[in-house]
Amino acid sequence: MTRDLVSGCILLVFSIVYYLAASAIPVSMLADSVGAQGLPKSYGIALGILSALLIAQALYARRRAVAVVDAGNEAVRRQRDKQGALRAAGMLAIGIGYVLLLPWLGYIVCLALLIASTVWYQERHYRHKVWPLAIGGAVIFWLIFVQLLQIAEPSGFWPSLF
Amino acid sequence: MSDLFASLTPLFTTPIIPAAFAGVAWGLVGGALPGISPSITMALLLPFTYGMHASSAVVMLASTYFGAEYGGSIPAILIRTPGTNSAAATVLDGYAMKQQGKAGEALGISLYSGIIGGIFGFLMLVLLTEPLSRVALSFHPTSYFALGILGLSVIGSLAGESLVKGLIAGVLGLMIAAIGTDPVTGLNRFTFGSPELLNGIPPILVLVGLYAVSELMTSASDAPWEKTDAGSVRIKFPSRAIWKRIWPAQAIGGVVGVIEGCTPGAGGTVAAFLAYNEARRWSRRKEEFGHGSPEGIAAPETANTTVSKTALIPMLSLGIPGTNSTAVLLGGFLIQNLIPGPMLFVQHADIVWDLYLGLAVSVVALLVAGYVFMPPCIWLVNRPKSYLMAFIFALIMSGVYAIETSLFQVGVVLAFGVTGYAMKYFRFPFLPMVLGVVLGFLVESNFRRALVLSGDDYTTFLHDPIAVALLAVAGLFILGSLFRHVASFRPHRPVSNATH
Repeated sequence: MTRDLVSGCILLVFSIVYYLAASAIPVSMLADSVGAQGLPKSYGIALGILSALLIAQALYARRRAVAVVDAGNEAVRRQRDKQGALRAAGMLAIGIGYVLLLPWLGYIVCLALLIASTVWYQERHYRHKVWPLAIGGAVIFWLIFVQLLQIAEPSGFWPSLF
Repeated sequence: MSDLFASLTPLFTTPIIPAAFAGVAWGLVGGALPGISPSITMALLLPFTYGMHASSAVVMLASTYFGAEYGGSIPAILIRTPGTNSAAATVLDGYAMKQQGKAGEALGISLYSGIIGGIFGFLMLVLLTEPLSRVALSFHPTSYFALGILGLSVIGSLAGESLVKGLIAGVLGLMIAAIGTDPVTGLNRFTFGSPELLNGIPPILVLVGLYAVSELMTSASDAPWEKTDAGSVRIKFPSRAIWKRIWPAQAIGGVVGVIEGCTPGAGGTVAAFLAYNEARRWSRRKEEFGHGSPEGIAAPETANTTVSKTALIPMLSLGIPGTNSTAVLLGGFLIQNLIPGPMLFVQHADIVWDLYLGLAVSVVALLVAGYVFMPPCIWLVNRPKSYLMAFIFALIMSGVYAIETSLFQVGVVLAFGVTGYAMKYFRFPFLPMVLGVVLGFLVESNFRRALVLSGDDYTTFLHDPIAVALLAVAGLFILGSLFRHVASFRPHRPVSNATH
């Protein structure tokens, strides 16, 4: 299945869900002739039509390309795509971890963890020397954002210990 | 004389000069890092502009764009890796000159061509923007609606390989813009009971997520950055013989830069390659191109820095961002509650004047920063990619949280990072989505306001001559895009695009 076909199908389903959600917007007594639903519903319809066009284009191109697609290369490409997506998901997980831990562990600790884990993840192997860099970086960011710019970054549970 | 001094007063009463210097320096460093495009460099700066004076904020962002376009040439010349897409043309002759032991000369040609491009682009910006904005006083809701449609009509030019995908991205952007409170009735739409969504999704979150976070995610799946040695180089002022040789190429670069800057979707990359090609065509020493020709550096570098100024012409006068970088700049304007377009020149003429002054200062700033920031840029280019990515990630997380001290917004940025990654994977362009997000509210609110004012008379749009003219231009844009798309659709074209 080509990427265009997959994305077209996902978007077609999304357009239907979006249209239904737009239809569920209540009608106000103050509404104009277009209403709060008007344009969102038309966006849903437009997306549905365009998604169908994308699917049609992908199916047409697939039919034409089937003779020249090398099955071996296709499998390698799929494997590479899968690995790439998994590694990208890892970066996302680091970001989500930061968001979840920030209120508990506080800004400096979380930022040091974020820097260390990103370096480790990007380099694909662990090195002890990442910690001085991560802690130093977190302190510099704390100085800039908390001390200089006066941003109220969460301090975590640490103040309750003292 | 007193008028001249009065007009220059903002230079001393608002922090325009430091903003221009800081912007150019930041842009230079960001542009010099391979993989960090000018738009990403600008997007990283956006959260910091919240508490800034409006003039300083827009000057800093516009100067960043200018600095980044030059910065891209540094790794292009030193390590054969363009820092930005538009510096790709500079690699051809820049790296060849470095191999011949002329890296200092190559960097000098690049810097001074950038400065000339900056001056020329700035003059064109001032000359061309003002006349376009004179119609401002005659604008009605119908005209604004038509202006929004004109903005959306350029999606076809920005769509890249597939018109359908460009249109889909544009519609998705409009859908994002529909989140929040309805502009006429005040009803909540797609907020799912979340109070954080009542004011909609600020464009800054979309921009940072799409450009910066998605790039981080992509970088995780790429091979680790090769360790390089850029060496130690000093910029050399071009000799008289070199100046004599490169000025025609710079002139070509300037003209191409003006045309491409005003054309939505073209941008610095197209301008650089077009200028390179034209410079070679008109050169007496065609055979030297690709083997270390000074003209081969001068033409693309003049072109892409000219674009960094002239791309502001449609953005400022019509509110239409034609490149990723101007889309981010538009986001910077919106943060300051400034809406680019005709009324900007009426309601905030002082800001526009400050921006002009700041852009003029940025040219001087590039001359200074080009020399001062060369060693740190070379140092950064030699750092492992993992360290840079980690610090960029920390900057994004800290910067986005600083906007409204909201973890929800950090989550939204991560969500748009995923969206951006998926769009890259499925090869959807970003810019149409950004256009939809930025123009969605303008289009809907003015469309409905015009109908309310006219008593639901849909022909009201045809009674306003400005609206008719803008809609006609929009129609031409759409027809042009369709024509190009149909013309490129040949029965036996390569299948590579379709089978990804």
